Amino acid sequence: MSKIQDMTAALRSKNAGPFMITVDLFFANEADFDAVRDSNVLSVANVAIAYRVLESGVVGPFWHRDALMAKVTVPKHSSCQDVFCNDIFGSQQHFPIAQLEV
Amino acid sequence: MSVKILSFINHAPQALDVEDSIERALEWGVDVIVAQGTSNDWGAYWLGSGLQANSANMKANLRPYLRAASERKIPFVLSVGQAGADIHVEESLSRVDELCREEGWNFDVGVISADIDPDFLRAELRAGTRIRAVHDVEGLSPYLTESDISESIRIVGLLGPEPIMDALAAGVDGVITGRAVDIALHMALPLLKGIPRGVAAHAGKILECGGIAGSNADASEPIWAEVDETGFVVRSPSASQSVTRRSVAAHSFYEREDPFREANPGGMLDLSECTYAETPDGGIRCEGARWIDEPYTVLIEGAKLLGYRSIVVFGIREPALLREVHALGDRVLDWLDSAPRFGAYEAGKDFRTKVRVFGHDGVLGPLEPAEGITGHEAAVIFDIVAVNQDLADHMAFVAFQHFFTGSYPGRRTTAGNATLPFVPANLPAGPVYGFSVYHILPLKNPSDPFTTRRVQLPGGGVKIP
Repeated sequence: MSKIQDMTAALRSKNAGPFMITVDLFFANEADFDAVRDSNVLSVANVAIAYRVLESGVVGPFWHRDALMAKVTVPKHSSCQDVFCNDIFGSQQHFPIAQLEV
Repeated sequence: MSVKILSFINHAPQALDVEDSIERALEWGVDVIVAQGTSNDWGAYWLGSGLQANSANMKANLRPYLRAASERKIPFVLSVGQAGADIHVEESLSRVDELCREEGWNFDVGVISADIDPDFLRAELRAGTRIRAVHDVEGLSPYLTESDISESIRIVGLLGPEPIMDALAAGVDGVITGRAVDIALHMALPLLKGIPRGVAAHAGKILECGGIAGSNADASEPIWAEVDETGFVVRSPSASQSVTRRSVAAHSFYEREDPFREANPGGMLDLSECTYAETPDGGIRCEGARWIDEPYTVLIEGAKLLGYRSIVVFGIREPALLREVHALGDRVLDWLDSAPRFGAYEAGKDFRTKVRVFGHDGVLGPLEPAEGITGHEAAVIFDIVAVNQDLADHMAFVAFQHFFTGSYPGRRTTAGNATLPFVPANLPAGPVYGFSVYHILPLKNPSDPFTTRRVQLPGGGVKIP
């Protein structure tokens, strides 16, 4: 078993607008891309659990084999509407995906 | 028929060799220089406060490409001022005016306001227009109400390409807009030249963040494209960057929910059938974008005041307190909730408190799987948001005292529990803002709520019809 952290060449999160967080996965090769995609680890159900959001709020996952990239988007659990927002740019919210086991 | 675009981000300080990059792009040809400078990434703070992070930075960034615009008579299209309301645009405009005086440039500029007149929105509501929220988010009405409008400090709309096209067609040297859809800036000239909307929008999408679409995703670099009727070729004019099929395709993922479909004013951009191919000159040719017409709408953003913040920052090295930090922190918050001196105020309404523990869950909050602090030190931030600054500062100072000298199990640090890296201990962080408006406004005419005036820089301005 490997974690997504170890199977991606780059893994990043960022706001997609102030109320959504999008996580981009960049793979080093087609084998890793295929392994993660085919494992179904990025299923809507798994992503919803990882971010504690409703499945209906998950957008994606999206797969772009030509670019060796995948993406999934979730509602921001602590947005700028929350005076105690913990990540204004949403740039450290990839971790719940990083630790998923493939 | 083609349009050659050189694109920057106007809040990103450029690479040191930017002049060389501009020179190379000029050899390839440049029909328009575009730089975006508005965003809602920071939340509602800049919109509410009327401030921008630093307009001197923007001025320094603009200098090299406005020089090219002046010397080569190349039109420019810029969005400015971060939140992009009139107050930000006027400050930015004064910086461009300074540049013109310093450099001896003269520009005839179309300045497009993105402020939405509250009465325009009230009239829409009274006429029965349904203005829906983009997201189901706490603090936003599902459909815009008159009280949302009234409590907004200011409201802006993300203008599309149409008002920019009108200004360019009027023969200005350049266009400076407030809050705008980034790609609208890039789309305006290609659309005027008859390039299909899907191609123009896709080009804008790849160019909007400058060198982030390049091989090392560097925002300090510019990017260049030649756009024609069926697609466009992207190239990096920088010596330290190139473009690859992957870097260009990857940029369609950047900061957006869905990499293949994106809602825009007047339609949906569909990138699901796009192709990216290498060209002999080191460029990437992009084709296959589709545009699906939809009713014309713009996103509108409004800000409201949520309170005033004061914070206290502590550092901890003592192992006994690292184990007890949440318990002591929570006890401090309980003190604040129940202290007689704050009895006239209601917790959760007049003030809200939080303790953030960096070293444990300060980054991820409830999503953090680690059970406690595993490192040798941590930072603790008390965060108070209250109805006025004086109350926030008072509560933060009380939090400082209680945490600094409070007791906890196993305590040996009886002279002081933590380091204080900053004085004052209670740091006033000022007003806190949230979105009161984040809604979709249908428009019969894309330019309706946006006003354009023509300004001669340096110097004054003349209102144009």
